[in-house]
Amino acid sequence: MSERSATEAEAVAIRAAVARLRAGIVAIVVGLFAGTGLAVATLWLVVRGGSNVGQHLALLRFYFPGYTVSVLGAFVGFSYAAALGAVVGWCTAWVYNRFAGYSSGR
Amino acid sequence: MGAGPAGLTAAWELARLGRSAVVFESSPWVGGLSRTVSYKGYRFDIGGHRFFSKLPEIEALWSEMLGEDFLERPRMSRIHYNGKFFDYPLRPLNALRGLGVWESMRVTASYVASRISPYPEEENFAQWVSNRFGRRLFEIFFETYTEKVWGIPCSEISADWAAQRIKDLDFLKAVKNALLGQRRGGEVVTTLIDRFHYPRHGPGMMWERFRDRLEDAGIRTVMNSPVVRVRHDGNRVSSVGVRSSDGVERDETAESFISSMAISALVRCLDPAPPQRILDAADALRYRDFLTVVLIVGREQVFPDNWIYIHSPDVRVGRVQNFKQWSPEMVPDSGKTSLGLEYFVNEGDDLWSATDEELLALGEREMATLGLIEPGEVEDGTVVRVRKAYPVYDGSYREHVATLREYVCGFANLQLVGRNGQHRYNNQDHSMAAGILAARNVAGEDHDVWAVNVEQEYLESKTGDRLTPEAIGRPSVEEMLRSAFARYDPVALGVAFALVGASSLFLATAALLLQPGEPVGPTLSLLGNYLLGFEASWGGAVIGFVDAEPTQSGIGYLLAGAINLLVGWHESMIRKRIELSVALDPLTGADR
Repeated sequence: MSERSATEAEAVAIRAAVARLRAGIVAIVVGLFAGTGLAVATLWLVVRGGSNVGQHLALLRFYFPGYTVSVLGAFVGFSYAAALGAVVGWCTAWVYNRFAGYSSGR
Repeated sequence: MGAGPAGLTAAWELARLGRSAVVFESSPWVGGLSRTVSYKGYRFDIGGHRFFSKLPEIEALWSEMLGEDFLERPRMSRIHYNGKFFDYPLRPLNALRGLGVWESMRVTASYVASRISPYPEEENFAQWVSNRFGRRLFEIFFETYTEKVWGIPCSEISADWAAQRIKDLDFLKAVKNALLGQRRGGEVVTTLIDRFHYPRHGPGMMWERFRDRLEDAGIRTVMNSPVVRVRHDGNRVSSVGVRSSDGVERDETAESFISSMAISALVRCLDPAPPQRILDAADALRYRDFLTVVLIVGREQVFPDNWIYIHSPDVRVGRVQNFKQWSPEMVPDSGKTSLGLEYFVNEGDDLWSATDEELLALGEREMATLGLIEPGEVEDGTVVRVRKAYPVYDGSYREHVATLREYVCGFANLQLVGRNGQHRYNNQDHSMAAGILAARNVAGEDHDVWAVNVEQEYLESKTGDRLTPEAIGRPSVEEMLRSAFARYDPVALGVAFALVGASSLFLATAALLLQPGEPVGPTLSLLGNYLLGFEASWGGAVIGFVDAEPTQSGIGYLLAGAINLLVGWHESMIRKRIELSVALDPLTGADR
């Protein structure tokens, strides 16, 4: 029992392996989530209707010129949020990959 | 010395290398434990030998020998316990359904207890299994069957026995096979867990073919000729005394000797005799003997399995083989079924000493007790007894084998191969690999025959001629699986979240401050409820940048930790399933 078996060594190697993020994939995923999220949130307010539809969400126009809480705005918002999400996702993955493994010396 | 898989393969390799050889076999048949016995046209196997190897050279040799007679057969085997069938390998839902609510709760509680308070030392099999699967599951699915097989309490079986089998498992390959099946020639085929190779007329067909091909190559296999004396000068073996069927002993000389005789029997044949401590070590080695009661049942189908493990403690049979499911040509009449009831015994005990009639009656009675056949359905039957079928890994075997090995390896021209030759729980492919290496040593190469089954890929890696080229630059499935089970670095994800999150807040604030027009700052400033001191101003942007970092890094850290926890749990579940399926069958080695 004293010798380390191949399986034990393999288990240690797997646990020691540090996962890396593929920046392109993360950018696409975060971008799609962000874009879809904003589009759905916009459409939800439009469908609910009311006197002052989406007064707070509409403030996003300061970041996304042309964005409004409307059906058309949902598409505009999708484009902006997807692009911003992609940038944020890519940056997060890039920073993660720069630091991954440093803390454990791997 | 010995015409089992190791001896015949060694002879075949010697023939391939252009060397001459003679094989002496004490019994009237070739194949050793891997022979096929025939009774009135019903063929049966001693233990059930699946042909499966991780060594491509061995697989190729099998196929070369048998060609179209090397069948690929579906596998089905189940566990019979307490009147119910359980899938093998065990599946959690099937097992829990079969055990019932109360027993399932006991199993679960026992498993949790074993995780909280495991045995600190894993010296024996009982501790090894209990630590992994819980005491209750051990009692139900391991204890009875394992003790039937070995005839000694699980607390006296070395944990090495289980560990040796587990350590050879390739986790990533097992996952790959489970996900993709095995690939051969680019075609995905069902994993050999579900299918296996088997000679059309049983395993003996393979070794009879080896014998015939050896004869064609000019190498004789002399039957009924036990080696009874091994003469030596302390450094080299000079000759062996072989007793022929007429009882006359004659000397056979050779340059080199390869023995697959039981190591304990070999040292007793040494002339001059070895020191007493060597004889004591030989006497201390234990073996498990085996007998098969073959029942011929007048029914086309008794059960669909190749074999069934009998865990029920109320019968003594350990396993039941259904030979026609191994190959349809194992029975001469497709309307009948031949069942092989396997009893694990010690030579001289009550079962070993019982008459064939008594054993046939016991077998029929036990089959009826288990509900597998009706009383009176058995039309005929026979009994086969096998000595030294399994080397026993008890608490002291390792020390005794080391003593014997050190002494016997002192003879420069004597090599030990085979299951009993090395007192090691070899499968037949391991024995064959050791035979090949021994033959190559005779031809001048330098291999360690004891490394086979310790380093599973030894044969392949040393010879190098079977290695297949791999494409460069494209990750293998193993590499992809390894990365699938890789862990996220919580610190790095924390840093990434902190830097990107805080920068985003700073930029969002700055973007507002740079824009003339409506006052939107109050809305963004609401974040000040969470980020102390934050407001929509340049000073607030800096404060927000600093304040957001610990929050964001905490989120990143926790997210990575949570993912790692799930990945680790998933990985350990898969490992456990693999370990369970191996540890459940003490005879996995004999199956091959």
